[in-house]
Order: sequence, then C-alpha cells, then structure tokens
Amino acid sequence: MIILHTALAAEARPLIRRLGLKPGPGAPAPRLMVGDGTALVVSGTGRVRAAAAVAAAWTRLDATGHAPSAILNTGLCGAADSGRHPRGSVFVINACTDTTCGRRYYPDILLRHSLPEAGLHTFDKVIHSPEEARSGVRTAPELVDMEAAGVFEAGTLFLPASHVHALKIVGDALTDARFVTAADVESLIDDAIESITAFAAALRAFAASSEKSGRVLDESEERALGEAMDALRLTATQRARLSAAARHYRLLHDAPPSPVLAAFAARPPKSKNERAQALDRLLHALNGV
Amino acid sequence: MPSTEYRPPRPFSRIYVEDAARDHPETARVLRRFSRSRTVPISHYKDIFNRPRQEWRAQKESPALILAARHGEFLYDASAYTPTFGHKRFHYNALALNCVYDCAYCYLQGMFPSAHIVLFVNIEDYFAATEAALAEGPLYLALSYDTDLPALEHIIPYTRRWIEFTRTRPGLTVEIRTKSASFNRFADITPTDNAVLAWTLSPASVAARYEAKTPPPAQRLRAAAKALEAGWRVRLCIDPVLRVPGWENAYTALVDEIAEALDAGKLEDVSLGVFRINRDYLKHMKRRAAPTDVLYHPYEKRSALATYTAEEHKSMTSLLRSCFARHIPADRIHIV
Ligand code: SF4
Repeated sequence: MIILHTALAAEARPLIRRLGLKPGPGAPAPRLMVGDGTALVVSGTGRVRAAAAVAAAWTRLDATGHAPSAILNTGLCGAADSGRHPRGSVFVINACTDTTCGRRYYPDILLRHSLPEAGLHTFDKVIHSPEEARSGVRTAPELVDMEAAGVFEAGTLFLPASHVHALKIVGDALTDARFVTAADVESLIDDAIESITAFAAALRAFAASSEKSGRVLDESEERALGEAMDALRLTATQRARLSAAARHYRLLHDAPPSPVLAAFAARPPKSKNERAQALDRLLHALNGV
Repeated sequence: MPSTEYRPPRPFSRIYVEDAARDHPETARVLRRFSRSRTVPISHYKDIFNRPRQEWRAQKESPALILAARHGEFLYDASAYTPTFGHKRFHYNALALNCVYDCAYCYLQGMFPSAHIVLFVNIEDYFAATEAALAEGPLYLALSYDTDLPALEHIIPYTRRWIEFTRTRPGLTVEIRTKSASFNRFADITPTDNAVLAWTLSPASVAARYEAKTPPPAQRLRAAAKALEAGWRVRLCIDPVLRVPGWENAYTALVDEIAEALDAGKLEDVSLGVFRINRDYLKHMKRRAAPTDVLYHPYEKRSALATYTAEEHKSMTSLLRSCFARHIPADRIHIV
C-alpha cells in the first residue's frame, strides 16, 4: 500500500478519478481515499497539516492491516526560475529544506525514473517573489511549496528515506500564484497524471522488492519451522538457534528445510532431556557441513 | 495505477557533493568523469551516509557516490583482528568508505549503515597527517582498509598517487590490498620497496558464490604474477578462509594454482585468516545484507567475535600452512 498525499482537493481529484479511489476507513478528516494498493490523503495547506494527515493516514491504514510501504507527496509548487522550471513541468525532489528550522531531507532515490530532479524549499507562508524565497535561506531555492517537509518529517518516522518521496508539478513562478484557480490546478495535475502514476508505481514496486529481498524462508517454510518449534516446546534461545539453522540449511542447499523439520516435529520429546537431544540432532541435521 | 517491475538506477547515477568538498579539484575531476550523473549538494556526508534504516541491499545494487572532505583524524590504529606483519606502528587510513565489490562475508555490511560509497577528496590532508606521523618514526600504513582502493582507481586514482607519495618517504611502507585484476592500470609505475601490493584470493567456487562483482581469482592471480615479475613486493592473502562443503580440496587446489601461476618463493609473504567477524556486525549483516549461508553458519562466540571453533580453525589453518610450506619458507606464512 502506498500513500499519496496532496494538500488540495483540486490536486486530489484527478488522481481519485484516474485511480478509481473510494472513501477509506475511519474519521472524516483528514479525507482518506483508498483503492487497489493505493491510498490518498488530503491535508489542506501547510507543513504541519501535511505531517498530521500523513501520520493519521498511516495509523488508520495500519489499523486495518494495510501498513503502508511508501509515501509520495505530490501537487503543485512554485518555481524561483521559470526558465529552468517552466509551468507544468514535473520534478522528482532530491533535497527538501524545511525553511522554518533549516533541516534538510534527502530522499534516497533507489528507483529508476526519467523525470528531471530538483531541490525544494518548504515555507510556512505563501511566497510572492523569487527574491522573497531567496531571503533568509542558505541555498537558493529552486522550487517552493508549503507541505513537503512535513511529509518527509512524518513519513520518515515510519519508513526509511528511500520510501518517502515528493513529486512536484510547477504551477506558478512565485509572482502569479493568485491567478492559479482550482480548475487550473486540476488541469495541471491531469496533464502530469502519467508521470505521477508511473512514479508511484515504480515506488510501490521498489517497496515490494525491498520487502522481499531480505526474506530467507517462504511462508510454508516459516510455518514448518514454527510447527517444529512448538512440537519441541523450545525456549526463546533454542528457537533462535533453530531459526538460524533452518535459514542456514535453506541458503546452503538452496532447498526447503521443511522435510527435515517435519521429521522432528512428528516425534515430540517426552522429557526435557529428550528435548535437548532432539534439538541437538535437528541442529546437526540442518547445520552439518 | 500501472503495475511495474522494480528497476534499480545505474550505479553512480547520483553523486552527493558535500559543501566542504564542492570546490576541490578532485571533486571536479570525479564530476567530469560522471558527467551524466545527477549531482545533489549536501551539507555533510553523514546526512546521507549515517541515516538509520537504510536499504542496504538496494543501495549495494546501485550505489551513489558521496564526495566529502575528511576532518579530524586521518590515521587509525589497526583492528586487533588485522595482521600487523611484525610492524610496531601499524595504522590504516580511510580514503573511502565502502566498496564496489559485493562479498557476502564483508564486514562493511555490518559496520556502515549505508552501502553508498564515500570518497574523501582532500588527499593532501591525508598526506600531511602521514608526514606528521612519519616525523615520529617509521610507519606501516594500510591504504585499502574499509574499501578496495585499486578497484576505485577508475573513479579516483588514489593508489597511483599514494605510491608516488610513498616512494620519497623512506620510513613509510604502505599495503594496498585488493581483489581487482587490473594491474595494467599500474604497469607503467616503477616499483618501489615502500609499497606492498596484496591480492586477496579464494578458490574459484568460493569467489563465484560469495564474492559478487569481483574479477575471477585466476585473473587476480595473473595480475599478482605480473606485479611480481615487474619487481613489486607482492603479498597474497587467503582471507577469509570459508569452511564450505569441499573446502579442503578447494583450498588445496588454490595453492596449487598459485604455485603454478607465479614463483611463490619470491612472494613477500602469505597471510591466512579464517572467517571471523565482530558479533554485532554479524547481527547487522543478517538484517541488511543479501542473505547467504555464510551469515547463518553456527559460529562459535569468542568474546566479541563470531568464528569457527578452535578445532575447525586449527584444521583449516594447518591445511593451508602445510600446502604453502611446500612453496614458501615458514617464516613468510602469517596466520591471523
Ligand atoms: S573486496 Fe573486500 S571490501 Fe570489497 S566487498 Fe569484498 S571483502 Fe568487502
């Protein structure tokens, strides 16, 4: 499950339409929509609301057994230099500065994408000019928004920096924000929808692959291991040793340890002594080099 | 949402540049070399490198480069588990953190929270610190310690620069340890007695299974033979020795291959060490690294270390010692 986050309802509408999202579980606010492997939360404007909404979405989804594996903030931003970052262009954010405290977030971009990247500064107020964006910050802003730093702050509480990202669509050049209407917002997101959904899909695929990559035993092998542990009535330390041995066997022989485990589980020990002996034999059978 | 397969980015398609390293000429050189990569300015390398809960396995597939400037200490005391070859002042430095190779047993997987590769560009500060240490007496310095420095030569030519630096410092001996096979990169350098080039070798079957992305041992051995012929001091390291099924035959055959490929009598020495690892690192490795049987072997716990039992240790080292003793004097066989 991936959480998409937008600040505005107008930013969310094209995504809801495209992904066929329906109202999700829990309280009416913040607004949470869900669909196949995707949730979308709408926070309203501002860094703190964004952080709160992401945390709330996380908690609500986790409570229904769908712990999210990635978070993507998307929506419009302003550009300090409209020549380099023209209206409608889409950027993957590779650095985000929270201008209230100077903290910088660097999403660990471990997936392949073909979009341009840019740095983003999150402000707590509407910025009306490139000069205003530049004043009081250490590095000159490229893109400007009011939410992403909050999403990074809350998102990295739950997930690694490689699983929390922002994808921004340039809506204005910091001089003309008040001329961007809700209809303009929808139309800009609509134009960028292929990029947004493709990036979100790549992020979801990355999260799924990273979840799998550390796994040694599959579900049925884990079950066989658990059954053997229960049958032998092992202590926590003995369980840890057996678990390591089963993994060793799986990796060394590239074969499931289940038959070895099942043979022992079928003859449960009757005494503490028998249990120790059975465990020794089982460990030897699994570890024997 | 379109469903898609996970596609990792190209290795080094992203280069983080620390503010303090931004204007260094080495930085400019690396950025020229990777002109297609995306550059991201950062305040400090630890902002990227030291983050908690990083995706080690994915990072290892597609590492980013982090160009940084080192401050503070430049020389470290070698670990108690490292052979010192009889030198009183044995130090190592850290010109880079992490490695382009991907050995299943590598302790770096347990030591560093990230698999991205840090290169410290301020080599002149390392030279200055080494000069200062030399003023207090002769020094033995391992250059390729928490990395494989020659394997990074195409990115930053530090091996060459250190050899040239060492040549004119009589009290200094450097060890440059590698699994790389590209001796040709250094073939034009006149050998110096101040540098020991060390190749780590494993049986081909062990390398194929546990040393991903490394050149095959036969190629490493050819590189070592060329270096020996050219007049370099050459050390061979069989470290770690792994107790894999059929290990006796595999390691015996390796020694035979070595004796065939080069004049073993001319070797500086041979360093042998069975697999040993800090127990905390092993714990981290099980969480971070790609799972392999090496990580789950039932090692014995000996204080801070996980390693083979004393009996296994003995059988492994005595086999290798006796194999090598046929080709090289006993006093040049070091057991770690
Ligand atoms: S070559 Fe050495 S440093 Fe590099 S991965 Fe292998 S063991 Fe680690």
